[in-house]
Amino acid sequence: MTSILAIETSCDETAAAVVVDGRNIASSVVSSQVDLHARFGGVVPEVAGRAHIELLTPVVAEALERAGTTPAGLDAVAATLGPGLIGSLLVGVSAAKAYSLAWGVPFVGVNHMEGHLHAAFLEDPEMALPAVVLLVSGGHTMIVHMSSEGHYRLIGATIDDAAGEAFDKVARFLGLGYPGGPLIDKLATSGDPTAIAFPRGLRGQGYDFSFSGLKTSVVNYVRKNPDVDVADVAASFQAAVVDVLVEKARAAAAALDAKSICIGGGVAANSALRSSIAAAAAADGRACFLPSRAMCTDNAAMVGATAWYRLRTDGPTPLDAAADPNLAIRFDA
Amino acid sequence: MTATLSISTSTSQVSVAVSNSDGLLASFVANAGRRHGETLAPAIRAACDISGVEIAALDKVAVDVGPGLFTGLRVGVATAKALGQALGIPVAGASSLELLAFACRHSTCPVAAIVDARRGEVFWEIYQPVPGGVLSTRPPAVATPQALVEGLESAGGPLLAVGDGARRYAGEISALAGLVEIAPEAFDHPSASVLALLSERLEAVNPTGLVPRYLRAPDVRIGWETR
Ligand SMILES: [Zn+2]
Repeated sequence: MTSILAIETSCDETAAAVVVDGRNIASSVVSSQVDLHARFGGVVPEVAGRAHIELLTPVVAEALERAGTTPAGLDAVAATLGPGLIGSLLVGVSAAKAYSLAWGVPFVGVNHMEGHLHAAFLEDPEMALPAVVLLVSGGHTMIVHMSSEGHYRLIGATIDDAAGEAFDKVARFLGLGYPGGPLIDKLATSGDPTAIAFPRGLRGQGYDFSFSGLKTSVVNYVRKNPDVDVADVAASFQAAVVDVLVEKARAAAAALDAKSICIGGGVAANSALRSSIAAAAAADGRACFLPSRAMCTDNAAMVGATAWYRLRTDGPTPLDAAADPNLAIRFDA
Repeated sequence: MTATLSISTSTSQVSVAVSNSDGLLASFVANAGRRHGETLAPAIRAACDISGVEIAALDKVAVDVGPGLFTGLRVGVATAKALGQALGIPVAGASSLELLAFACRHSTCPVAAIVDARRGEVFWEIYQPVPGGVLSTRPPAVATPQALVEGLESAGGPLLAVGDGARRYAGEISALAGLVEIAPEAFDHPSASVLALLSERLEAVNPTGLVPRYLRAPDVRIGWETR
């Protein structure tokens, strides 16, 4: 039995978890800084870094206590090495290295995006592979083919804005506030998704995404039609995003003959995306795995799950490893 | 035999020291090469290994809490807090400016400690040498080089200016030649060895309560990348 203390501080969530054998969550604590950043309308790196410094030790203490684990029961300490905000990553990585030194256990540096890919195994250890995973967050939008644990191929990605970034920017433009995803999701329930025909970027053209044109057309439309029902704008914008995400993930699953479709990342908490992708998978006779909302958004349990895998395949990470804001996933050729 | 680990990462230098009641056992200084986040943990391991002090046997962690470079402070303070928490030992914070001044405590004149704050500013403070140490006589502040020179001038001379901020703006400070002398390069950075000397007198706190001394409000530009 391998117990790993995992730390995630790549953006605006200060998180720690204890994960057993890469599959069982003994504890998962997430302290969101969303209230700190809301008044700025987006994540402020400097504010995030300062908050991580204050929140990390209590969050780690809470994770150990909830897991009923003493340091003697830990086999490794893991942290997200990247990608993310450098000032935020440094806090978690520095602390994890210090815990590793203090307790004499290995340090494991983890790729945050690989963490999102592993989140599914925490809730569905028997997930049917190969799977097509749609990873959508404020920083990333990609379709990944997962043939087995740890083996991924990048099928498509955004060529400009990430899906979550489009939600945040449109919400900001509409004066809804921050974060945009949940606010648009909620407002869209009272709007008509067919009211406005916003463009579906790169529709029918391979597996890459483009959302910056969509954001621009929302802005132009609202400027031209100042009396438009904001709920209709939210619903129509959301439908445009969800349509291309689902169409492309579905086409990729068909082309690759995937057994299942899975989603991850903060935008995977969007209710329209969840219902639409589940319906598409069911229509195609494919399994669909929708992680809980807590496992879609940033958390440390997914870092612990990945660390367990990486510790067995790659061994410990050296203590001179650098936090890397642009760390890339190692894709198979 | 109380073993203390001292850490300073508030400037471009990374410095670590291990000491006990016999004095300094080992110290490590890196002025160039890899950055704080890559250097500090291996440096702590090396300093402890060489001095024969098990990390688990440390009794206290002392850390330079700034003011200084935010990324460096983040690495040092996060490391000190986690070590303190993991080992169940107290941590103590010291001012980077006081460390600079304390290294010059034998100066015959007041000491202006000046840390390069980047973005065209410095953090600075004036200390008066007293028997056994230094006392702050002018509270810490952020200043442009121009405002620094005005501040030094109005403090009256003679003064010993020390720190990487004094080094960087030596040209501006030279306008006060005869009034302000700049300390040698060996004193440019706050040192963990100096912190080790001071550590006995520092107030030890619970690791959770320790935070960097920023002296500057956060830059509130939004980072759209990566969420
Ligand atoms: Zn994420």
